[in-house]
Amino acid sequence: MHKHDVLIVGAGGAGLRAAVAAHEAGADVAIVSKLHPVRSHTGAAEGGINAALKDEDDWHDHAYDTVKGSDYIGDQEPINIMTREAPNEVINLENMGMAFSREEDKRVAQRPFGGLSFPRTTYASDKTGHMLLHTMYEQVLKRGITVYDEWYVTDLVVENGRAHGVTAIDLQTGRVDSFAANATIFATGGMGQVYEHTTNAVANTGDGLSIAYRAGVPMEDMEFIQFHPTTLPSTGILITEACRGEGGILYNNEGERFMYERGYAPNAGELASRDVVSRAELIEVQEGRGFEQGTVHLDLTHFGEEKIEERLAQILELARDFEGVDPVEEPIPVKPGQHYTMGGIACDADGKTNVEGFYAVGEAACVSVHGANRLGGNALLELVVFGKRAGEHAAKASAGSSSASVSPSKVEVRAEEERERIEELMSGTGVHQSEIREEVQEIMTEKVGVFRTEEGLKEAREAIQDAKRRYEDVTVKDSSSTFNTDLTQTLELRSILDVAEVITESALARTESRGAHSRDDYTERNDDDWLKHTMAHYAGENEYPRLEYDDVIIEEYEPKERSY
Amino acid sequence: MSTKTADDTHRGTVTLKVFRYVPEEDEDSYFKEYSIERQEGMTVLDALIRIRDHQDPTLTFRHSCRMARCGSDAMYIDGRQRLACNTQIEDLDLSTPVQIEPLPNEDVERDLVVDMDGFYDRMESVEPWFQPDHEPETGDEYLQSHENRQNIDTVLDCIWCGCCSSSCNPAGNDDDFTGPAALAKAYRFFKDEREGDETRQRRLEMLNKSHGLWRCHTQFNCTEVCPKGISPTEAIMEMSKEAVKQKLRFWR
Ligand SMILES: Cc1cc2nc3c(=O)[nH]c(=O)nc-3n(C[C@H](O)[C@H](O)[C@H](O)COP(=O)(O)OP(=O)(O)OC[C@H]3O[C@@H](n4cnc5c(N)ncnc54)[C@H](O)[C@@H]3O)c2cc1C
Ligand code: SF4
Ligand code: SF4
Ligand code: FES
Repeated sequence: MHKHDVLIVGAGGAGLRAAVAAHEAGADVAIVSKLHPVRSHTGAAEGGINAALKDEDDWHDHAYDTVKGSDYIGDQEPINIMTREAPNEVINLENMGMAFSREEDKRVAQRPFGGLSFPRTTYASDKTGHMLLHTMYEQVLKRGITVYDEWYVTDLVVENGRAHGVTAIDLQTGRVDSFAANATIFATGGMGQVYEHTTNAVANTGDGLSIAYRAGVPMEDMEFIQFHPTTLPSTGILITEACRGEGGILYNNEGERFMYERGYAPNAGELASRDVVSRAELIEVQEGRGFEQGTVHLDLTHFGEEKIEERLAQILELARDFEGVDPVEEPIPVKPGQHYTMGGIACDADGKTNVEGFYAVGEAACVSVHGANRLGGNALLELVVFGKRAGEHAAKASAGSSSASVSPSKVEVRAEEERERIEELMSGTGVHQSEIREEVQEIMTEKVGVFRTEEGLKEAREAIQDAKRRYEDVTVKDSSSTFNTDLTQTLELRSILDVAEVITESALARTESRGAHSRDDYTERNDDDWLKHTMAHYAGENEYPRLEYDDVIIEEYEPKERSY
Repeated sequence: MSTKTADDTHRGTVTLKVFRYVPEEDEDSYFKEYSIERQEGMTVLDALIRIRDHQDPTLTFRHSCRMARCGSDAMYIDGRQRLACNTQIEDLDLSTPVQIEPLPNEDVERDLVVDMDGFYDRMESVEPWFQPDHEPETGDEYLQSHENRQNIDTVLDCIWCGCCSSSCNPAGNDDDFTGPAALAKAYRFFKDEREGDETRQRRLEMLNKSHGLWRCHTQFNCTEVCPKGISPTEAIMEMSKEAVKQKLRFWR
């Protein structure tokens, strides 16, 4: 049994930033993470982090770009908070020692990015996430914050509308233990493993989403899944948007610069927002103007080796090692791949959810700053701005909560139930998780991908229901209690199934096209009926999610048609 | 090099000879062979995942990003420390089975999973956080020259995979040796112009001890295996030289 004021689940950029903030606010903080902190997927972020730092730039413009990028469904209040606080938070990272790239005048460097009206993406070569993650972890070490690494959180304990902590398995020993806390923050990251072709890590299975959902917290706007237009065809590894930011060009097999020549984005071209470019690429391929493996070409050869090495060093490595292509000599084949979850655990700008003492932050959360489409460079920003706010708020709330209201024994009881659930999983003779997982990943990629139809969504819904039925007989084949990855993958599969179902159900109901959610049967944005947030509630094991809707917060920017 | 074509995806089979050890079941470790169909562009990690999904769910290893960024799948593959995810099968000698073992020098927890605690402790021992000598005005960044930033660029890329310390004999024999990764990490701050002279001096004194800089035999094993092209050896040599110059060196 462990007890802390503030317990943070997840040690990516969001979790670490929240931990530092809560610690600075005087709380006893601990982090629980299934991966060692430096293994978190934040380390993979490449292109940069946005902030209106320059005198010629203005956070209002950043806010407007974000609202427009979101296809007007992002909430304008938190968007204002995020873009206004961006310069301070980015400078704060710099002050903590984050190694940003530098201009000749010794100040931090910025570059253009998709959907931004000013080059305001601050970067560290093409390894911005790596530098951010390591810097934040250094700060956690400096402060001596407790980290339980390689502990897999299995459940959130909620009773009478209040969170009491979590249960978790120590991966080294297989022991299930309880963690009681006055405030619990989920910073568990994305869920790319719901899809077959994704830029996300194998660990990104949406655990936090599924656990919160089952505990009674709504999942907001889960139909909005971002597909990144430039991923390597064989692995889904990301080729950063910075390639296009620096002047990379997309060609079809007729040598046309199709973003301009085919009229997809006559002004912004390659730098239109990600949903627009992803759709354009797929249409090119569908109409026979693509290359092998359903790709188009991203050409950087005009940069010369030196520029690529200085600004896009990692891309050089990734294209060479993972696709056998040398970007100095030849174009890189690319296609869209699952990349980001705009939706997530419904919460406000302080990370607060509908459950007392339970917070969410980072990619797992939906503060609703990305709406229907996230701009590149805004995710890392979200981690630090809202990570800090959630950490501070949780620390304050924790200090104010009488210890009588949190009951460690409730967490202990749940831990016992979790032990039983796991024993059961280990003792059956049924189906193995990999079989079910592969099928779900495939159907999600095919039917709940960039383009969607009612028919396809219904097929996916059937398949997921079927997969859930089969999951009832799932059995862990590995009987060891030491580092049992078969067990963790089996637990992760339940998360994948829950999340897949929520995405599909939310997408089926939304009969319009907006941002990343694109329906062949409802091709127009429909503000009259759909200018609202989807809230998916857990309705029981064999029930479809129950959908409700919430208003969008609109302040200065009235919805209008988007063009790039 | 050229773009792949669809018709050469099948390349016959490949055999992997994998180190196995489950503490509560096996008295001794052993090797188990798996044969799988080889595909164009397949990495060692792809092969291991395929084996785990389709042949043997008890096979255990760490991995996550599969893009050479998280550092969790460092292993000893055909006699060399590498990341499984950026090792192409076809770049290995396929006339004999591909031999896959956990990182040498570390305790094996199970199968290919080693205990990294010693590695993390070494990392923490060098106070791996930024200690600038002055505060900038609120809201301002610390200025840093483009050149200084470039100078530390390579060491900044360390993903804490542990390949280097696993290849380092002194690190294997001496738990108190700071080791290549942590020394490279120390160098990242040592070279940063924004940390002032006093801090630099203190960092040097911290490393100038029998189990610090001077335990290194400068044989470049660590540099050879680093999947990120970092040269801990050169970092160590430069700091040692500085210590000598300052007559700090008290040990050999
Ligand atoms: C390849 C790539 C490139 C990107 N580039 C950019 C970019 O240039 N700019 C930008 O703004 N954004 C970028 N993004 C998006 C951005 O990196 C992510 O949205 C962000 O890093 C997510 O951070 P996080 O802290 O929320 O989650 P993560 O960094 O994914 O961390 C999740 C944490 O939760 C833990 N966890 C999960 N489940 C459990 C569990 N059950 N029990 C215990 N712990 C658990 C994990 O161990 C991990 O520590 C990129 C994303 C990808 C995939
Ligand atoms: S050069 Fe030094 S640190 Fe590197 S492997 Fe050799 S002894 Fe170890
Ligand atoms: S220096 Fe290289 S080999 Fe050593 S931990 Fe860092 S990345 Fe790995
Ligand atoms: S899986 Fe992350 S480095 Fe190989």
